[in-house]
Amino acid sequence: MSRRPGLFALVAALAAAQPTHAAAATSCVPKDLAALAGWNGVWAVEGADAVDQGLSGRNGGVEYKLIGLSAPWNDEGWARMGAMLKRAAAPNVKQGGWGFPMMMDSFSEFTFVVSPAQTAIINQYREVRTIYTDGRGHPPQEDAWPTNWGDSTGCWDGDTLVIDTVDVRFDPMFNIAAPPLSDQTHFVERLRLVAPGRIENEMTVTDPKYLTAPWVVRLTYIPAGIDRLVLDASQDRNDTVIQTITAPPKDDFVVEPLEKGVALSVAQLDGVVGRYVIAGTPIEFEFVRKEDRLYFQPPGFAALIPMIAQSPLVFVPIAGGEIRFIADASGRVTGFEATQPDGTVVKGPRKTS
Amino acid sequence: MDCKHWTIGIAGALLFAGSADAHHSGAMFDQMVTKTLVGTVREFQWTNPHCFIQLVVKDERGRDVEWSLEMTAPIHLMRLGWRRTSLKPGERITVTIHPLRNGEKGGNVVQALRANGKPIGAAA
Repeated sequence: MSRRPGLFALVAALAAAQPTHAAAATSCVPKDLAALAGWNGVWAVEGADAVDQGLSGRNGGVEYKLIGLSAPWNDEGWARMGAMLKRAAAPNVKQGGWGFPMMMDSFSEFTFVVSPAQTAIINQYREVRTIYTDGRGHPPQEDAWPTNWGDSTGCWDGDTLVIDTVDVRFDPMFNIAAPPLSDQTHFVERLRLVAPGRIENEMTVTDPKYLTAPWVVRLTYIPAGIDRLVLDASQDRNDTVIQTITAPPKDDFVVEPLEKGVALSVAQLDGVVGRYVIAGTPIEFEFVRKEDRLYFQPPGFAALIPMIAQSPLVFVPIAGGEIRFIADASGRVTGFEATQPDGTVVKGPRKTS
Repeated sequence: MDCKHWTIGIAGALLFAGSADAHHSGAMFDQMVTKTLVGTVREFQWTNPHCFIQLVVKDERGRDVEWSLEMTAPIHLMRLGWRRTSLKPGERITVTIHPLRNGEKGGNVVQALRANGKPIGAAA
């Protein structure tokens, strides 16, 4: 299996006018290092900031864009997403860290250490990305293998750091909460300090194996409001009265082919499309159709979760559970009843079609 | 019920709540259940990857039972105004938690109040 960016990735990247490799040494180092002082400090991901997660660290409401629910997966990719979501929902799933790409869209604060020859990105978990900006390329194939952070080279294009990353592996044992891309995936990031205290990162992801098109993710980093990074050794808890953290099992990331389900017509799918509300709550969400598939859109999120049809009124989300639509005597859908993977049932009316 | 709880099941726990933390999923905590404990701090563990409050609480029969209450990491608590000295052994506090699903005496801390009712941390 090739570990280099494949033709698909290279063509896609070129089409996006983004360099795939650090080609010329003289163009890669920052021209004015002092002008990059604004990159100093401790940064957090806007929208995924730990302070919004409260004392528990789990207030919810975070849409990790890089998890992949908005990615253009093929069916094999969606099957892997379903397996990942089910696996991540299991109790006590220990994660060793974030890895790349998730460490660029995580709960964990990080710093940039910019020097002429390389820039390091270091996060709270002591994970380090080293981006060589001295003009070197990636290692030759015989010296390369996929790792949790991949291999990164970079070029300073004026005040923009362009990072090219390959040889990244999806490692469920290390971090299940990550996009299940192949190790042929190619990442190109463009990071720029667009204003004091605001760095934007546009990441273009190409995977010839599981994506149908380049996947573009835009992230924003904001100051964390602390004067230094407090590193997390992830090792120093010695209490075992109630141990909430256990090692993940080694063999439970099982990907089954995406269920084909029942083929429904566009009219049948459109019959359940619309906005629904959970009874007794103000929570609204949508079912939308794209081509010949129905998707669930969680409230407030851009993510679309594929739904597999079991019948015109019964669908199964890829992460498990079941949605039953309720129809009146005329056949018009008036509401829903959802059974979640844990057996909890919620129901409510259709608000708009 | 709130948005996050409902979407946990439908979307598959991880991105909305279960894995906000990179150490482990939160699926062992029942986020549909909120429980309030009033007790005495035996120990405040300012440790990575999670801080813990070891809280001694009287059970329904008047016996002392120790609860192990997980919090987020020190860096995140610091940003919320906590310090390693924020709790002292012997201090009486009121803690709101999402309890463990398996019935063990543990949970995930949602709120912590001093005996005077003031929140511990930035707002204290």
